Amino acid sequence: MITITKLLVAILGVVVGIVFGAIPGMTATMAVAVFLPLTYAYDLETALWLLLALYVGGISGGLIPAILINIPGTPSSITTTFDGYPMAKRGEGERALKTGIVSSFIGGMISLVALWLFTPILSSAALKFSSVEKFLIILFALTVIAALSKGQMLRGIFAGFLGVLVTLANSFSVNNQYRMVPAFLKSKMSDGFQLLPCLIGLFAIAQIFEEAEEGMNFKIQKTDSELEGDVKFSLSDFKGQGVNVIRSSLIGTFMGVLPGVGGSAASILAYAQAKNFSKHPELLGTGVPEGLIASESSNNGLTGGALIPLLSLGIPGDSTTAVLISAFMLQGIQVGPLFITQNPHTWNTILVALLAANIIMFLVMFFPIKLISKIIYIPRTRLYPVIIMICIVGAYATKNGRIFDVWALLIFGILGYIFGKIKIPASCFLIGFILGDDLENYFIQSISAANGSLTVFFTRPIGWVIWLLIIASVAYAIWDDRKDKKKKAAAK
Amino acid sequence: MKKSVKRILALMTAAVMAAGMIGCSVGGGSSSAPAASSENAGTEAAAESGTSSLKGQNVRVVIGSTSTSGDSYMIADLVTRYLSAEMGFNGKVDAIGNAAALEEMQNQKGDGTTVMMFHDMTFLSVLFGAVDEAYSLENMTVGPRIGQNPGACFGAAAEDNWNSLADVTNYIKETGSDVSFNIESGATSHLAFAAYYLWVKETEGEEVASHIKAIVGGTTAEKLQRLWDRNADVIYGDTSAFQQYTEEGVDAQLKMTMFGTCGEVEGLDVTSMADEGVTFEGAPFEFAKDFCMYFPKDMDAGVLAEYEAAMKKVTENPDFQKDMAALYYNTLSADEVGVEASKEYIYAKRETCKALIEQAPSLDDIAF
Repeated sequence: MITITKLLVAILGVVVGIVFGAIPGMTATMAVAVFLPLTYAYDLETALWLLLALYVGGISGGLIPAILINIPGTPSSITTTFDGYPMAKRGEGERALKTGIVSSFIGGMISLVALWLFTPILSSAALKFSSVEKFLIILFALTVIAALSKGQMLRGIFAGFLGVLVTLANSFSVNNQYRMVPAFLKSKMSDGFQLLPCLIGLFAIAQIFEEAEEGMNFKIQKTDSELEGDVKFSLSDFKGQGVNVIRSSLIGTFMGVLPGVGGSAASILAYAQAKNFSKHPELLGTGVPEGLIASESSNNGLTGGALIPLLSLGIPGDSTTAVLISAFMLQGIQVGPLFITQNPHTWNTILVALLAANIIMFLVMFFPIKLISKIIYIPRTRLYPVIIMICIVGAYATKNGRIFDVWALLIFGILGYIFGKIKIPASCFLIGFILGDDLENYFIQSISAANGSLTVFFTRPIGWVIWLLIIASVAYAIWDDRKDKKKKAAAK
Repeated sequence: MKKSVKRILALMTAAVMAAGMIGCSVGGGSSSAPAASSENAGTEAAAESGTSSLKGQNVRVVIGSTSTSGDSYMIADLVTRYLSAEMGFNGKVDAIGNAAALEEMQNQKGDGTTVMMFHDMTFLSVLFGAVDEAYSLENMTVGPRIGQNPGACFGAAAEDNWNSLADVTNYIKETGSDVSFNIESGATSHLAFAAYYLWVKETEGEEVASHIKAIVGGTTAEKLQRLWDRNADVIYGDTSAFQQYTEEGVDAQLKMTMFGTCGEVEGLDVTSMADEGVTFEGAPFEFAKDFCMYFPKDMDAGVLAEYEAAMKKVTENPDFQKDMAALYYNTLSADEVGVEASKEYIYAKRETCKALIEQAPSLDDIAF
């Protein structure tokens, strides 16, 4: 039953979640983890309303800094920066934010419908995806590097591999041996470099270094009040984007359904497919709603999707649902294959709470966004010191307070600055960094189950389909790159 | 800043504070108590009188796992809540992982504001060489034991019809096929696996044992997926995590059997390794996971005594015993949680494990 208390905790959850999502270094997972002890005070239903609201708010809030200051608030909003920030620089910040929020809402609702109606089917489908298929899906997501590094493909591929290499500097779980880790860092790097310091170092700190060098002369091309009507937000921005929004939401949902495949991979894959299927792929990355829609609808599509394996198989779909499982356990409820049939009331509560969280998220974000979008007009000399402080706090909080992560933030900031100088795409490095761990994990799982035989990657029907998609994606990127080069040569 | 924005911000802050207070009032015990001077070290008298020098202070409880749903988090969280109420501090569990938790024990002051609560992996990771010797028990203070989880067990797909380790051994003998066990290197599963391997080698011979293979690594969720993919034949985990997959109505691909627990689990009809006759050096193999408090080496003796006194009260609290039983964990007696008894027990257990590890096969040799 919906009560005032539940609605109030949901509003609180969404707002706090958005704040967590919007602060670089803070994530939805952290929001849920921080509020978990609070749920002792509530019954299971109220606790679920609060935690699901935090989850939805946390995933959604990441778009604000991604669009306004080119810093992804959460790892899953990396691809939001690709088109969101160029739009904001053109003075279309409000339009970009509203497009992102509507996309997030649609993505959330589509995933909710999938959760409501197709949980048994999707969980059965997820079981068909063994480590082989998961490895191939990660490989497929990596092909976005080829699409993103158009015009400098060699550099992009190098950066991607470098990212994979750096993410593997840790203690190898199979034999507990350290690799690529100096002896004096062993105690700090058993899990390797953390994603959040890497993410905000490469995006935020490197950008601040670059702009400091140029004298902070950042200027918005036009203020939004000077813009013509056609670049202000309207629902017509979604005209012709029906397929994109549904495809991206479903990609997000399905990536959520696959346990162990990170949430960031969802938006990367959705963005890559939006580019592959676009009528004007050359425009993606220059500030068009199409890329923004793909990114935001997919990362919110993840929310309902990630709950599917949690509630039907008992294993979490992403890092946030891994924390959410504790809320059930602390209340003495076991989530797993019999959960829905044995707990129909709790199941209904989850659906209603998720619906309410998405609606509240939309209302809380959409209407005050005009105010929030003004952030972009704050002079950089005032804004950046605050951002640096927030980034340091975020990095420090990554592993519950380690100064090593603050140093890592600085190291990746310098690395990002150097990348900018030698024209290596930092986004490709980051994608390699994000996906590298899963790539290795599923590769090892696959070949260890096949007694070391690599043929295992070519013997499964679902695998063949993914191979075709990988080949098509790479071939298209190469063809597109060559076409572009020819066009440029002809113009000269 | 506009008035309306200020109002919204004030309202939001008030809402966050209100929710925090509700939570603290229920779960945080006497969290509103005034802070005691942090300079005051604990005293024996304080411990005996039931007061605590940590009253009102924040205490960070680190665990050697990064999961918030495993037994490490569950036990640490439960004990922390009861200790918070007993000693009047604000305790919070941080799931930071083994290496990081051990590092905290080397870096933090021994004033009781940082505690490590973890199971046998604390010393097993040193014995297996997963972490440096610098993190050995000699370089920290063993505090009171806090509970026991006897429920770690082996699990297999139900379609294999294996209901005991003997069934697995018989399958190997009859078919000559390899059987893969998914375990974690340097963890309690490694030890249970080694005990089974050595037992088979001793009772059935080297040829049969040579068919026992190890797949290393993975969380419980990953191990379950390996089992469902049939990429591992046997997995190792907690009975509380596996039990639901053994029930009627579960899909055939997910359905599993449990066997070979490391100790007796009340309320569960699963044979233990000792029941099956698994022995090590002539004695029945029993290896319930023992959870214990660990502190930095220079721990204040007075504060340690306060923790000991409080833990003795907690372990005798019927509510605590009920909460532990609900999770299938064993509560210890007040004598067992005493610091001296705990230290003696943990050191002795380490010696047993050391002997087992010395005889255990290298995972490199038996990797699947």
